[in-house]
Amino acid sequence: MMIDKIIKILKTRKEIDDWKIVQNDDDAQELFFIRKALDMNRAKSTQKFFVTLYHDFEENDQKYRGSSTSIIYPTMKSDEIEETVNDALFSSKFVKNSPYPLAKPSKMEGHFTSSKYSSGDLSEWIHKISEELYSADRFMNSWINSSELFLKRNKFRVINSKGVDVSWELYKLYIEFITTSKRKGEEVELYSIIENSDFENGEIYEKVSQALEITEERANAISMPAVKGLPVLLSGEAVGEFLKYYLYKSSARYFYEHLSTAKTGDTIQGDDPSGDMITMYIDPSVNGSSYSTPYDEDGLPLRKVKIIENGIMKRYWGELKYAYYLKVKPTGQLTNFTVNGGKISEASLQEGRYLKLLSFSDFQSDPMTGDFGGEVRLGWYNDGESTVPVSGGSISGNISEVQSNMIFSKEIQKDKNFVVPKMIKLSNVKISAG
Amino acid sequence: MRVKFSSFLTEAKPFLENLLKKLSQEYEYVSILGSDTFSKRYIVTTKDTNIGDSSWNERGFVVRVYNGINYSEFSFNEIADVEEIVDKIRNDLIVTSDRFKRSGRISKYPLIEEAELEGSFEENVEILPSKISTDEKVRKLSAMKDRAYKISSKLVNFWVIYEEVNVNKYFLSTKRRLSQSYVWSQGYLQAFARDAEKTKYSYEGFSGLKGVELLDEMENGVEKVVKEAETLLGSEKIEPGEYDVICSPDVAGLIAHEAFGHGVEMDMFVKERAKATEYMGKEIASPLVTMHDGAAAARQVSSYFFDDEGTLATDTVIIDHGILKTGISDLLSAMKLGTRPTGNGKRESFERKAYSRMTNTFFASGQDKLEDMISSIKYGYLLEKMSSGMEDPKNWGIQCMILYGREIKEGKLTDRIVSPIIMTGYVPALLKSISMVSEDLQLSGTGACGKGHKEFVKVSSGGPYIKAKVRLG
Repeated sequence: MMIDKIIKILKTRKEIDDWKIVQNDDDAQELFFIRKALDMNRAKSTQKFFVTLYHDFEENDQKYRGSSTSIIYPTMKSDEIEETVNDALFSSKFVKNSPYPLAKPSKMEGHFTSSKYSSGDLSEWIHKISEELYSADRFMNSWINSSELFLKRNKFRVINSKGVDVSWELYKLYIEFITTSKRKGEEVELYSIIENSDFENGEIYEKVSQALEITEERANAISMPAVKGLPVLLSGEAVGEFLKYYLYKSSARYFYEHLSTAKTGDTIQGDDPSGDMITMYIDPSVNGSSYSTPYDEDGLPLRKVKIIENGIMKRYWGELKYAYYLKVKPTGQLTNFTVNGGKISEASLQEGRYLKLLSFSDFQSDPMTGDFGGEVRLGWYNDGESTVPVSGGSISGNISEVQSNMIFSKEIQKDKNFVVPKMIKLSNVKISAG
Repeated sequence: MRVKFSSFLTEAKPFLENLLKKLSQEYEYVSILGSDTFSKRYIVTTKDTNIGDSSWNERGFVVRVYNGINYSEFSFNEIADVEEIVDKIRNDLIVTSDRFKRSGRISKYPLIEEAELEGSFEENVEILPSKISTDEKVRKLSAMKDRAYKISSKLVNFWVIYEEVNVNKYFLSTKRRLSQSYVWSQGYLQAFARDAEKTKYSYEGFSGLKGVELLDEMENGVEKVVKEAETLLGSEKIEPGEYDVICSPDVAGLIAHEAFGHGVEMDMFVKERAKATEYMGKEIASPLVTMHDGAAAARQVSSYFFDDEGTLATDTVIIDHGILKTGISDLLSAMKLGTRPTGNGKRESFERKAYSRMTNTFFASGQDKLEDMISSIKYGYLLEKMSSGMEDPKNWGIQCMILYGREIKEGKLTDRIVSPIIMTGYVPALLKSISMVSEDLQLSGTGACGKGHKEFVKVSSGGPYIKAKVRLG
């Protein structure tokens, strides 16, 4: 086997003090549609080995751990693998990082649910998924313009020189689809993504139907009016993107790299917060999330960990290296996070004047500066009497200026790599007209 | 120094010829693209150093066959038994396409008719990556980081990132045998400054069809990026509104690329997602605006000899003195539309589908001088440093994220800085508002361009300084 060949070569180099191999076997089925017709179909089968070798050395009485990562392909012959390893070993001698350990064998806590996609062929599953996707395409004034479906099976194995040898299998469905609607001669569109790791009957149908409905709303939208001082109700995917700031703020790597100043015990929402307090977890086992994983790439078993409770930072999260540097227990490297809901319903948040925003070109929040914003593709403006859909213009702000009085909806949404409130009410956000 | 072609792909040629021969017995059109891209990324930060293969690495093959109605593809990275690959395509891909054929839910494409073509292309760089040791490269990168700390006491981190990428591709079909090898490199300097709880950063990118010589260019950018980060600590928020602005070449490039370029990728025409189709042959921009795209239009990171479908590179004039002339196209979209492919069929890697993608996209230079452009503005901003953008080909909305703007008052730059900035608006309105174009022309190719939120490929973009009226928030 290729992995045995690589290990054999690694073991012959005395200067390699430790090593780690992440094997990734990838199989995928892909369908591309324009309207309802198949435009292309593709399949993929690949294998890669990400080999990291570690070299310990001293210079001027200072201890260092150098490392370098190379990708080994199944088409590489022994002499090429040897050359790659020699090159990586040479490179590692110039990497002067503080020493850190590798993961040791440890037992996985809890249970990682296997996916329904593991039963049957990927080609059968992707056909079934495409059928469900297009069964939702039944609206009079909106339709699916095009879609791309990717269903992937990843088999991982992490093996290292300290005895870790773990394997797991993940499935990832990724659907990109464009919905179009027409009103008064002008067509408008919205871009949507569905991601999951397990099949849930009706989930795709519901999400596509919702996308078609809101595309019709965009067709009816007026240009964003010039409004000032309105509360902004952030909803949809942007809520997760917005709250990601706090995930980075409590990252061990960010603290070590001086990109975050947050410390355990700090009030993370400023000095005098009066709104909802954040309670945030990292969670490797969110059902159906394609970002859920039982181990990280160090081979460290993952579990759900509370990192912020009622606005107080409880601990750093991060991979083994940075956790070791900060002398804290490693949580492992993962990106799934959850934030608890608040006490007020979505309906109650929509009382009085507001600007509710659902879809952006590309909403962004900067984890280092706290700046956030984006161009609005769909929202609703309520002037206290009536509500109209709006499009165009943008919002911008800084988290430090809005975090003290954020209000979270009690309803929760699950999307991509987060489980977060469906809606956040923000004040002090700049609104630019369309 | 000449960039030698991959020995791996050279050795794989008999296997690929055999595979092509076997598949040609079953399919009217077969092509295979072999890729062998190897690279190294060097990262030196205040607290960490990292050296390893970069995410641009790839080694493998993609087969495209005509299944009788349209095209099916298989990506793989093992040199396996040819019969196994033939069986996989027959039993997996063809079974799926047949299923859709039976249901009538399949899009028809004509058979690709290629002219015979053979060629081997090897680019040159000043210094090949293999000619300078890792030690020397890390030493230079570390020296840049150390120098940064001598410039500002507000610095909390400084990143120096350098990547060198050696691209090798071999394309074969019944009538074509094409090979190419070239090297591109890119570098970033990123300075993080802090004052109390306020953190700001600035960055500078460097790129080109270059080798290790790029490190010398990077050294010259250290002072500028550190001082910018420090200055940004005193930046203010912009008051939303419409302003006269001057866009720096990289911001002009962002507009060319994100606001307009994505909308003329002709696979969007096939999907009826492009508003540009309504404007063909019509005035779309100010007469001062001419816009190009093409792997042969400039010498930057997306310059190549043939694309990932075996079409030779071209220089496409998309807008000629304000008139929209044409889009840019991959091979299959061109066949569907009855147009000529422009050499813009690009894949993220052999593992992904080919789409119509931009290459080197830029506004042509004009005749104005930057100082005249500044003095022509009563109140506005000089916009510098693109951060990111997002396309909206159907509705031509603009989202361009810009790091900062320098205030212009009564024709003069003041010390007031606003940051960050979101530029929004309607593409034709912005392009028609362009009233001055400088004589400079700069392209930059750091980062990667996605289509939607995936399919990241290497592109460059740029232009001269342009004066326009835009909405900022």
